Amino acid sequence: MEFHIGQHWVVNLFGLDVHMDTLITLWITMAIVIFFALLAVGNIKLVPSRLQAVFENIVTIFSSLTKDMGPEGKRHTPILIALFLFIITGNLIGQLPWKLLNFFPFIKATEGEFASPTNDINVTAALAIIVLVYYIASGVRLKGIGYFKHYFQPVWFMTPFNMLEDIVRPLTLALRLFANILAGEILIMVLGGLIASLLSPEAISAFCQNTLGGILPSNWVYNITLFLGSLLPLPIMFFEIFVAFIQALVFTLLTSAYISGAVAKH
Amino acid sequence: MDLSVLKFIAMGLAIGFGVVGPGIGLGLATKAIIESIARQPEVEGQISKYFYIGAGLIEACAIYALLVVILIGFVLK
Repeated sequence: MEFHIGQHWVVNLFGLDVHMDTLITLWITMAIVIFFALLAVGNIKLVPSRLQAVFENIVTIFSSLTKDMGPEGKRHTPILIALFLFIITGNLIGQLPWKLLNFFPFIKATEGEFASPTNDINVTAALAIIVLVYYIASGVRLKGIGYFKHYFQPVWFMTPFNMLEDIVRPLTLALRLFANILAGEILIMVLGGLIASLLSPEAISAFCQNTLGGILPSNWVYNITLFLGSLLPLPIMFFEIFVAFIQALVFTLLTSAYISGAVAKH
Repeated sequence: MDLSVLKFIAMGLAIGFGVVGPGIGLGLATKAIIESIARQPEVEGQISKYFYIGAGLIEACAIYALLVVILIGFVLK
């Protein structure tokens, strides 16, 4: 059994190494988010349609998150909603059957798996850096240069630790999302290939001859066992849908906590 | 000893010791939520969302150990 972990379809574009599989799924994610968002707000009615009701609920949830961030708190709602929608769509898109792309020879899907864009550390690191810049910028916008005074609190020699916090926060944000999605994909890959790697046709034919007494053809038994074994990752796939939602929520909640920490009055 | 053998030993030790702490943490979190729901069954809908978020945060710690295992086994030469 072969593993392709952290391998990507690298293409050289304008002197830069680009992960093409991540880029394609990233653009598909953005297209889905923009399409459904436009569809939801394009035809606003007093009695909402089903899609509009979903988006209204999302807006309500994140408005209640930013309510206690002071009078300017409403300003931070759009970035939270954008992060949440992007991350959850990106996580869920990995559950689509991208393996079918292997039938097209010009897509080199065998070099790297087409999967969630969030299983590339570059994407999650970019999201985390957006969060870092955003919460520092919103703090500076509200308090001016006085925002940086919090580095020297409570006493001056805590400064390195306070600065370390600004490194650790985006690092853990990026790593948590990346590693959760990657771990789920590895789990699905391992469970999907487990039975096929353990079985051998000789063992099955010996089993049919000795134990079953040859009442069933051994290639039938072998194929049926392979099919049943390929159903093994199904529960994990359902669990991954749950994990996708939880991780998007955790990322967004931590972002809102960092922003409200940056804009809080001391 | 061969270096690849040491690598497998390191992978096993890293994930083995790495999941002990999150396991204890998840156990404590589950214990707490079950106790509070048993005391006040009507708060289940309000507190279970915090449990899910907390469980996601705790689980991430075990996944950091898995990340180290992947780094040892597949990325670092």
